[in-house]
Amino acid sequence: MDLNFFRFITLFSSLTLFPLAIFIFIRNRSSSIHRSFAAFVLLCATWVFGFFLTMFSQVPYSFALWSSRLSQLFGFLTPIAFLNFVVTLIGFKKEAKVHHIHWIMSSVVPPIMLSSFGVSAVPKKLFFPYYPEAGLLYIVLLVPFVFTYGSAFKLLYQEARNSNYEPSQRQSYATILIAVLLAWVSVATLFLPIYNVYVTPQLYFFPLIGIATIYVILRYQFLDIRIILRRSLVYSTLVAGITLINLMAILVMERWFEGIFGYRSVLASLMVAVLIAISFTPLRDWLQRQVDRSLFSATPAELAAQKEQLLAHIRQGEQLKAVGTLAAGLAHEIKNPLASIKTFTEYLDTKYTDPEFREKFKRIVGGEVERMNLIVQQLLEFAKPSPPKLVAVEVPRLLDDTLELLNNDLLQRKVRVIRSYAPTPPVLGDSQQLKQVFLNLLLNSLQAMNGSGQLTLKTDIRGSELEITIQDNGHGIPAEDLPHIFGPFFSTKPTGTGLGLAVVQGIVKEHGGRIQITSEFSKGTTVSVMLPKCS
Amino acid sequence: MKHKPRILIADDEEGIRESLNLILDGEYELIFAVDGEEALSKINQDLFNLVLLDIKMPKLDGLEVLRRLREAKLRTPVLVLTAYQSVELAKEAIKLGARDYLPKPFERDQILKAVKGALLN
Repeated sequence: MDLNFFRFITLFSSLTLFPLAIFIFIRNRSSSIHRSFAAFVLLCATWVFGFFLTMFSQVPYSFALWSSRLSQLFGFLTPIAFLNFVVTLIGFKKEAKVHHIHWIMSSVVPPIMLSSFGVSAVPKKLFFPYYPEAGLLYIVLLVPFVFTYGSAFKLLYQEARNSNYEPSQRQSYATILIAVLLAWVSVATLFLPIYNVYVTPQLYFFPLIGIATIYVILRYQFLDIRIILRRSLVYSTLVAGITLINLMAILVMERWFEGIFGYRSVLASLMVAVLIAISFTPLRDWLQRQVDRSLFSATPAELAAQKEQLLAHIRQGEQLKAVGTLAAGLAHEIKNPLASIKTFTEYLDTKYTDPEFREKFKRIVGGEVERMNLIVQQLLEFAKPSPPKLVAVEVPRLLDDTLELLNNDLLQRKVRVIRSYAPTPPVLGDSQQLKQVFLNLLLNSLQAMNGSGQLTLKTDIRGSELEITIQDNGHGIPAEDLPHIFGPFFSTKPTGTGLGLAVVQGIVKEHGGRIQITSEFSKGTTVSVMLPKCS
Repeated sequence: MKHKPRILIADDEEGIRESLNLILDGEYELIFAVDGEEALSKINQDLFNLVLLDIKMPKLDGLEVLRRLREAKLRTPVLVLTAYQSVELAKEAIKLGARDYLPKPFERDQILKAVKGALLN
């Protein structure tokens, strides 16, 4: 290790920690946890940056002295900042008195450190051009440095072991604890030369504070900071990194070869390049797996499985919601007939002799029972439509057969029917079920038209499908009702179960087709049914 | 001769109208509407002591009728009858000015008591 190494470590650490502190603060400045952690990181950054500034012999002595004092000041305030963060993080109220003691102890740091009682001079030590020398009271400040950090480590350790937390939360605490602890051990070695113990400080672990914080943010959304890291970006960076290392390896090998044999060998370089090429793919794959495990919680295959599971949960939730809606609708449709039947049977013994009552009883009670039966029947059809018996059917013929059934209604309502059947191939379908579909749709159209309306029936080919269009100029459907039109028990008519279109949609889907309704209120409605052609 | 209180019964279901007719006939003068529009039209044209209003009706539902009555500042007391079992719907109806919320199927005594109570107030 030489001076350049320390310059690199301190500069790298401060360049990581300064933006990290700002980032954490900006993400949620109203959160006391964010503020306290940002303060701790900022103090670490200023401490190490101040140390960096003293590593250049070109700076004047007085500048180096004050840089050193300020750096030491910020460094000695990091214990209370870290403790404050830990206490805020865990909402620790019990030991408020202890917390106050640490604040009181830390209050003596600024006046001591900014005077010669803290850092008395910055002589040359080891290979450092300037290095702080302890003043008379420097050792006093070591007490809170050790004691306050110790309290914070103890608290964080207890929280990391607390099984009430989620595993990811505990992992975050453990990671931060280990990183800060190792950094603290690293920094502790800085004190040795201060007391003229000439052992080179071991600052390797100091950058861990920044690296660990970034890691827990990305991996565990530490401090609720969520960053979507593109997997492709990480992989690209990884590949670029491996390539760079490999290039450097080739250069180093060339120099080493030259150093030993006195000349550069193209053959040696080629051999190195071949070795690198062979090891590149396995190394890249291994590193990607480690990145997946550490940053993305799972491999792509595991993520796909998790996604499928999540989708299944969502589908189940939607199904339950649909069942709930269906149950509510069914309850409503059944309760009305029940109310009538209940009241009429309650009056049966007192009004039995009244012929008018008997007539109403027969009509209404009988009608309501039939109605409930129809609802149950349609519900069964809706819930489990019978599988269609597929044969080649001519759709125009089915439409004409259905119109025949409605002949009387058409005449009575004076509805004009226009047929426009293009030459179309047959479709594979169940003729009875398709007639039911057309009957439902045509009845809806008739009911929407109040006399002298026009009904247009068309068939046409659309690619691999046959399109059947039923268009009327009735009162149309309000725009706000259109999204619900196929929902069970949804009806805009005074009579009806509200299951007709739901059943129609079910039959069309069973035939591999689809249905679409467009409408303009008071202008008319167009229903398009698409069925796959016979191949 | 004492005039009977006039009650408007608005429900699209014939069975419900006839059931309420069975329960209330004799003591009250009953007028019927088959949808929300007809109910509103009758309330605007004539005076009623009480309205029995269904929620789910064609053309204009019960809640919309209540809303329009409130906007017109008409103080005719309204009792809402419905087969929907929804606390939210009940709260909405009361918020819109309904006096009470009665579920279907209903008890004869429940209807008689609710009507008497609404008319007394």
